[in-house]
Amino acid sequence: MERSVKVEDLSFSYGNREVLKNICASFKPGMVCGLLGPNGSGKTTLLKNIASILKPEKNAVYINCRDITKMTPPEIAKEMALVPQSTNIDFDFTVEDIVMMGRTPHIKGFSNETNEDREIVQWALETARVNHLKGRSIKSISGGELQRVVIARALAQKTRIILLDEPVSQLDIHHQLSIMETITRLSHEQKLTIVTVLHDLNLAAEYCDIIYLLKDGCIVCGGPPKEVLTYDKIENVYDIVCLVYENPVSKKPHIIPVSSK
Amino acid sequence: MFSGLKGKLSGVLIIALIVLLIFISAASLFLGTANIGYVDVFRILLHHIPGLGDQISIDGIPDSAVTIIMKLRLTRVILALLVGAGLSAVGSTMQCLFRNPMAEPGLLGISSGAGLGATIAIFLGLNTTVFGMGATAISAFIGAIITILIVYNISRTGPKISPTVLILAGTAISFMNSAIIQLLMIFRRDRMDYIMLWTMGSFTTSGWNKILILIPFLVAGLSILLLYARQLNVISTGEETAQSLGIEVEKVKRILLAVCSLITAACVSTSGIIGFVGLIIPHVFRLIVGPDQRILLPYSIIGGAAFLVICDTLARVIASPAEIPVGAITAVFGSPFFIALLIRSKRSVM
Repeated sequence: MERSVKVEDLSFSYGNREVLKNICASFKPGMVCGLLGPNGSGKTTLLKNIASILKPEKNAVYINCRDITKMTPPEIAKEMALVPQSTNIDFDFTVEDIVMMGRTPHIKGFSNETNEDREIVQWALETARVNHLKGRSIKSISGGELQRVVIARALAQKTRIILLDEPVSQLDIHHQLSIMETITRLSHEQKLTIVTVLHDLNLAAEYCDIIYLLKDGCIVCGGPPKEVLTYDKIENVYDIVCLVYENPVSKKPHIIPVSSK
Repeated sequence: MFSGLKGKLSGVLIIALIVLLIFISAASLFLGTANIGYVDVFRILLHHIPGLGDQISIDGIPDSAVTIIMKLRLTRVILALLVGAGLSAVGSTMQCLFRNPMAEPGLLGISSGAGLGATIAIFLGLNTTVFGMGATAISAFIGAIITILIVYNISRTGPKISPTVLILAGTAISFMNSAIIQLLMIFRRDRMDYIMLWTMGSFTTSGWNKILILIPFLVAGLSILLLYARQLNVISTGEETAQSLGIEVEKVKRILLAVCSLITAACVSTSGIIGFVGLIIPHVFRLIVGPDQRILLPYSIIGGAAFLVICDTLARVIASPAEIPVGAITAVFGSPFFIALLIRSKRSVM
């Protein structure tokens, strides 16, 4: 069975304010899907609905054809990992402790971690390139390092679906590229379903297979970067003037913002 | 999580702490206004161990000494040990659960609720006994439970509890309870001393009946807290994170809150309001063994027990034959020690 995420006619409100309106989207294995849009367009809300952090309506979000509202939290956590926008940990855990927490949904009842869990944690630490930080306190590392640790925790969860909320916005350019490369490689090699909120249009153009463009809680359009990231659509969604070229290396669209409208 | 040397080290350390606890408890039995030799103390103790008792004779030891050891000192030591363990475990759990370093058993108004309950009983001069428990203790327990129910319902939106609202509501109700206690004290000047001693905590009225009632609360409560330690670690790194890792956060929160409330209510209603233990002991051990609740909680339990036995011994020895409220001792001796630890840990960070 294909491990996919499907959103069918999802609406969501915070109190009286409707944030998502009749969203339909599907996310397939082996693909990196980007959610793009201006601030307040509902990207994070959509991601949190899929992750079931916010309670979605019935029959709106499906994981592998199962309605997510009918699944228990441990069941969901075995299918899907979430990398939140920001992480703030007050207690002095080590990096390894935090990544080990990714194994939580797999550790039965009140028992402790096994050697297999430790091996997976080691793999996750290496894959997210934070192995050298393993014994350090989580409070002593930089914001970018913390972001990579949180990504390692999501990897340690060993799920087929990974949701990321602006995973690279706090990272330097080297780590932005390296994390995006890791994510796309995992997605393509292991047929993982990746859904990620991104702010950087060019990063999205380079690494996403599918892009959904959101504005005011609606999906304006969805498809491969070449179809979605055209100057008229970007100008409409972001209210800016921009130029779109073709990246001579990757042949993907490259956006140059000119001014706000 | 804590592997290798750290894991072994914490194992050795906890055994050392248990030995220290036994030593402190024994020392506490020897100390007191009545001068009883330590050989006699041992003979009295061994005589009362079932099966072994017949071999050890207590001939020649005055009956008063036997009564002092068995009825007064031993029950006090055990009660202080249990209450210290309970309050400290609750503090450790609540600090994690609310991700708030100021969290402690008194935070949610539970202690002040118990205080108000006890004060009302003293005010009305109730002195009936049910199941060996005095009216004051029962009234304190009821006061604690009513208070936490009020605070819980204020902070609840549907099934969700907001930690911030919970803490604020608890603080507000605490102030209100304390104000009412003081008002009642003014109206019953004749019983002021009694109320004062109660609101500052004291083990003077210890007894086997209190111990027997406290033990089931603590055994069941602490076991549940220990079982949830790993999940609590994850919750302490953020509620949304915990939820996305498959933990039913609201359910765990409700269970732990209920358990913490019951332990606190049971402890406070037997001994009065003893502050500080639940706040400081978990912090001290967090600085030493780290934040992993699976390791920290056993340390907090044993450390809290040892700390309160020491404080109670001081409370009855320092100004002997007068009694100092144990709550005053915990604050006076605990604060400087804690501040010293804070300064040291600040230095190591910088």
